[in-house]
Amino acid sequence: MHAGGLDVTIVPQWTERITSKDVVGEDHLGIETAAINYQGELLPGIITVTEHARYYSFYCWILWRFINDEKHDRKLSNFRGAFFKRLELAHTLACFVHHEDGPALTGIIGSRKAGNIWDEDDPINLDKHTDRYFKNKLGGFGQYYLTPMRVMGLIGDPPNSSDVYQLTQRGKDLAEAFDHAIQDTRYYKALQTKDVHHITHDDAREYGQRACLCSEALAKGEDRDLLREALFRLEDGTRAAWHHRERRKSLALLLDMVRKSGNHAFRDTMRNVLYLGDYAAGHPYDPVPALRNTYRQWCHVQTRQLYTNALQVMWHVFLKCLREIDRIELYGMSLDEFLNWLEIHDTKDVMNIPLLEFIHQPFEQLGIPVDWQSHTIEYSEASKFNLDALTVFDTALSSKNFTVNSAMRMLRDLFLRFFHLHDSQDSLWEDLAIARQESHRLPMQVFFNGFHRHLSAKVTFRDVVRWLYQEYILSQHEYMAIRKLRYNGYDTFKFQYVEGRFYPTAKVYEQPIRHPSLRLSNGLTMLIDVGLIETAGDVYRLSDDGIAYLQQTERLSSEH
Amino acid sequence: MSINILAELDALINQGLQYRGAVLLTYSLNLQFFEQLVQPRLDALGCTHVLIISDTFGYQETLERHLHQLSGVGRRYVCAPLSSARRGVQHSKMLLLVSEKAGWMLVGSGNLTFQGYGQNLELFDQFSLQVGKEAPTDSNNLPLFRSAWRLVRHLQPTLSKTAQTHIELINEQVSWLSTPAQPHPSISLWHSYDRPLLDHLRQLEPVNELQLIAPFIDKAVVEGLLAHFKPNRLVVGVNATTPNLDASSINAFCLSTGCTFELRAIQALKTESARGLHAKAIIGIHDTGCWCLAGSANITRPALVDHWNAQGNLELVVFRSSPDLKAFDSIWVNEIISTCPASIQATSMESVEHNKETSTPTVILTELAERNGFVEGSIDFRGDFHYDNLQFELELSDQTFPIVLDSNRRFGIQLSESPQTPNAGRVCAKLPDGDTVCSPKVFIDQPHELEHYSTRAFHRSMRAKIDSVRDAVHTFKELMEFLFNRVNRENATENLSKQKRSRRDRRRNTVAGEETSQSEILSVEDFITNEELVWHIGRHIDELNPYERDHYSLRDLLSLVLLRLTTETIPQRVLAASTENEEDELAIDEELESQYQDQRVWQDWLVKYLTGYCKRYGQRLTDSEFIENTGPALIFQNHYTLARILLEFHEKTEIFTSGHLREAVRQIWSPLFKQDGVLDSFASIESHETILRLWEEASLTPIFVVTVSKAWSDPIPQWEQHYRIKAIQRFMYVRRIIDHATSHLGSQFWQKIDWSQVDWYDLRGFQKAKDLIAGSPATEHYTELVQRFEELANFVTPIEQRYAQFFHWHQLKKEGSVHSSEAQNLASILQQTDAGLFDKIKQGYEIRPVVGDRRECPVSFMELPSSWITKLRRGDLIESPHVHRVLLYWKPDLDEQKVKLSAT
Repeated sequence: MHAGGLDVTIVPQWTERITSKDVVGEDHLGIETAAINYQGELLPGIITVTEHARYYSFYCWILWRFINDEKHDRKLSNFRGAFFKRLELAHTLACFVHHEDGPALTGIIGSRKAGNIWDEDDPINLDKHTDRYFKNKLGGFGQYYLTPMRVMGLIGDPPNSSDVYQLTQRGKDLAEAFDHAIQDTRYYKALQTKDVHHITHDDAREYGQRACLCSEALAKGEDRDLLREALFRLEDGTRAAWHHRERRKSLALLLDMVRKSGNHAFRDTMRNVLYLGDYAAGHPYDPVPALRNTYRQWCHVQTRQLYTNALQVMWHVFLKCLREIDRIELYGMSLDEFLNWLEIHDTKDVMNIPLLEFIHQPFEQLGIPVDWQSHTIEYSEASKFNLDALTVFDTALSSKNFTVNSAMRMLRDLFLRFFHLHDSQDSLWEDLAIARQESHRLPMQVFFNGFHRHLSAKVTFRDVVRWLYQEYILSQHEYMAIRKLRYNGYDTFKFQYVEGRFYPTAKVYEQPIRHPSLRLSNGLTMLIDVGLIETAGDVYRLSDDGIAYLQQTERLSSEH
Repeated sequence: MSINILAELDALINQGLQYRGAVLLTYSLNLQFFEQLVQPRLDALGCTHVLIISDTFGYQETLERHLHQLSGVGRRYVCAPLSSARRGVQHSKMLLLVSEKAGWMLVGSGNLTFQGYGQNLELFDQFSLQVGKEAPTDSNNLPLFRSAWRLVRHLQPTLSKTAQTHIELINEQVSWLSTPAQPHPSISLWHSYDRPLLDHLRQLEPVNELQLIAPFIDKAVVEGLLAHFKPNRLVVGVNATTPNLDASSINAFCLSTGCTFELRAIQALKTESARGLHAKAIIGIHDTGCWCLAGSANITRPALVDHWNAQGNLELVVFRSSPDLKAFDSIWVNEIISTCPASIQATSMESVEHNKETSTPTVILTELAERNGFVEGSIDFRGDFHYDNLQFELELSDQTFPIVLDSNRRFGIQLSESPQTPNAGRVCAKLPDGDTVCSPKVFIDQPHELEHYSTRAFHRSMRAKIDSVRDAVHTFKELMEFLFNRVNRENATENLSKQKRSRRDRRRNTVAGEETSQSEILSVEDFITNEELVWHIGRHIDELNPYERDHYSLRDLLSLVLLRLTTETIPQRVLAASTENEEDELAIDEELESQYQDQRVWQDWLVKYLTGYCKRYGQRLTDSEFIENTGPALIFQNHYTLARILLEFHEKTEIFTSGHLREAVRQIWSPLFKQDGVLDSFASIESHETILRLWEEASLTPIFVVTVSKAWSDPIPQWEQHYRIKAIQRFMYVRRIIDHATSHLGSQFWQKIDWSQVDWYDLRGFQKAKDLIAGSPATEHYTELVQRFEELANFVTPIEQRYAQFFHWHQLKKEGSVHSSEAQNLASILQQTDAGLFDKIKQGYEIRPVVGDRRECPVSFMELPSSWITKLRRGDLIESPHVHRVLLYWKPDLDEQKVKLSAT
């Protein structure tokens, strides 16, 4: 109905949801990235999904074969899909079967499906399973290794975007060395005449002996020395680019830490070394002088991870409360009501004590003079393997009992242990503690300032928990969810906030709590792969080559 | 019908609409939501004066909860609290966009929060307006905009000075807001600033049916409505989970008046996510039509019975009436909600709207503004507060400053430096009894930042514009249109007078503190906020100057935007993933694929856009008046920029093919060189020397050579491919363009360039992330490019190639050089190659081409026999059957307009 040109029958309209795409999402506080990015600077070219050094050779080899096969025109579109995935699947199966009689080798792309594929047929039709073992059209290369291999200086940019990636000279050398390592195998010989669409179990076994990612197979390959050089760049000496030097130092730090680990299971004690400076009580680690700063940088990564863990535990508890309170979906819950809930279920003994008293609790417990500003050094030593954040967190992890009380004890330990670095504006500390980019959310420096301010203001434990929930947990989650909505177009909100009250969203969610990945673990596996570290069960030793690499790196780092 | 508010804003952006002022009214407020999802859209819509007026509740809540994550409050937009000295709250909700020429407005029930704009079930009315030179073209909507603006003007004196300034500026710039407008009888905007909404309702006649929808409904108000409207039937729609209604009492009242009562529970369709009812509407149906009131007002006393200047809320609603009895049925039946009968007995809850016990503060900070480090403020006191002899302090962040009030209760302090991020403060006073009284916190307004932003300094507006891929696409379009409209000759001359930018080394490390404060130097993060791009690409661009609004910065910006649209970024999840986690594995694959597809979609759009753009650009180059008015300097600059964009896009994506690049050459380069084209037109206004100088200063030869070489990079057809006519025509075409260029620029003009001095960064932009990170200049094998260009300049058809030596000897003979050593050496070769043919040439036969589909001899004009045509097409050089001493060969024709350049 028009009235004088105006359509008055257009009725008020109901609003649609901004998005109908609800996803679980991850890192709901957006705080894991800081440590991840910092690790990227310390160990460039190795990320948590690049587990084996020999993938660098193997993927270079696939690329090299493609580039040299004229029928493919070097077009990226021909590289994606069947050509790549047949070669990768054959390799996956070979690696899988190479360890059929012992413990499975981890970190093989598509290995979860390899067992089933292996059991189904002999010979195995590679074309039939190319989409099954791994979805990405460029397999693990496209999904995980491409960017790290660029950073490693193995792969260059294509001449234009329709062409396949180029190999650097180093990449070509690796490819040729891998090619040489496998050229006696039947699988390889078949590849020389045609594309191989099937592989028999016998051929895969034979191929695995030469091509497997493990240290045993790699020890026989010519690519091992080249991989060591790609990782350490010793030949480039002090002229190596900054990021290659950083990687060299981090890998050397691993060598140094392993060398001094004695009979301790190094993997299990690595976080102790990084956070507490000890493998175990009474067994301190003292880095070689040339690697001291690198060591401290990795210590700060571990610190940031524990800080992240503490906040995630608090988030975990809040979500638990949202799940457990009756009829909360109808009436919601205010922050104060949540704090009251905490007082009953979690922080009863401490909720209303002064923050200073909470800070001084461990001093009394450890028999240290009760003055945190004067006795943090004693505290740091005495609290190891007892009240420190790592021990508190590991205890909570093993019991699956996550509480705000334990999170606050972790934050207390972090504050006491590192306040002197914060206060003295230590440059290495500030490297990670000060926000340099948006992703470095909730920087530790701001936390330390805020915590210290609250301490000086003589507030209660409850006030600090309130502050942390308000600024570090709840509005932080909203901020991240809004950003994800903006950039990814999906809804990851885990609660709705309406006029002072929190309501659960329809889907129940539980924040998983675990130690975030540490890239040094991947570096460690690579050093084992390339034979610089030898293993005897859980105990690790440096090989002679490992000692030599450590010494050379030490020398170069001192010279620089 | 339904509305997605953010999508509506996107639609305005896509239509290219531009506004200047934005005023938003809300009760509750989430500035995080606003900054992330609304403000970038207002930014893209050109809004330079953005004002949010919020109830003090929403204001304080967002300040307390979100301050540390905000980036623009007080600096890019103003957020002002509106407090009532009485009991009511600022409850109206509105989004008003205005410019000199247009208006757009939303009035409804949703607050400026994630829930209000896109989670709750809300109702909104949407209005737009175009204003012509004489009067608004859609004058029926004008009274609504005027009413809304009158309300804002009513509120103006009670707001902070900065907010008042914003309103005043909008009022000055948008004159039609103050134009008198005749109210429309069927639609109007009602507010409760100085008159209760119930007063308006009481003007309406009784109805047969009364329908109410609201999350909060007071029994007493319903009874009042029933008493006035005397309906036979009452329908009430409530929230399915929390009705907030004493239905039993209302039912009893209905029974006593002979009215039937129906209670409906309203809930969302098609979603697992909880969507609470927050919409408010009153609908009346009578014998001759119906009406609807929808907006912010609940069915409660503060909303309907009282008004803002008394004890009530400030509400804003839209009233519509229609003679169609079913006009508003779709509010109940639509694709968004479902309704079902609710049990009256089970619904006996009291209404609990805004049951907040808020004590009125005794000290209020009415103004807090900072300019160049000087913070000014003013304080007001409520009640009988005695402030004489009290010591006041201003708390800003972690610092406290003693302040002294003047007779107007104003104060000022000097900070050591201006805050670089949003900040807030409050004033506290120590009372004689030892207690401390503090004002609520307020955001600090930074007027100079707001002015800077509102003048649309180019760099400021860029930050939000390449945040996401979609933002980048809009930005690209905006920049390209800026380029298209860049025809001000003075501007170009000014740019040219700047010293030409020296060869740029991206790795030049700037010494800390070396950058002076002469101009604000922003880091690249201020332009590109995408995490991966900043981290992986941007941090080494020391000399990137996209904040200078000249042609260099325009190119840099376009280049960055193209990088944003074409660079693959690593999903953050990869960096924290585990290979043992299948969920990680699948999610990463999905994200990579989604990113790939998303970029593909936009790249497809870009291809179409650029193709159309070149066509438009080329057509304008045929407009002699435009050419003369714009002049060579500016046209050359623009040409270079456009050519560089095309070249970059070609190199960054596979979908902008060589064919597209060739088409672009046809559209933008051909009009320059052809007869009576742009360069010929310039000859009438500038000397040839001047034109050549300007051409050289604009570096057009290098970019022409590179573009052409890359566009025609396919293999040149050889004799074996003489049948590939379309391919041959493409090369004939480029040869002709180069010939035309040669006629203006001189023989072998590409050899006159010192290629080692060419700035490849300027020429090719930021080709790849690696260019920026590695810092090495984008080395180009220019010798290969120049060699290619030379081959194109000398292109001959495969048949001409086949007989090239014969033709050459023929040419030497015509020049009288048959006795030269070259001719003699050639003769001995030709004698061995084809003695019969050579003999004819020696005898002085003419050599003439038969072109294209022509079937006649080019000398006699008589039709050639079919067998002759077959031989010619086969590539033979044969004697004419009609004319003595003429040799014929075939050559494809070249219709420049029809030649298909985009084929591969």
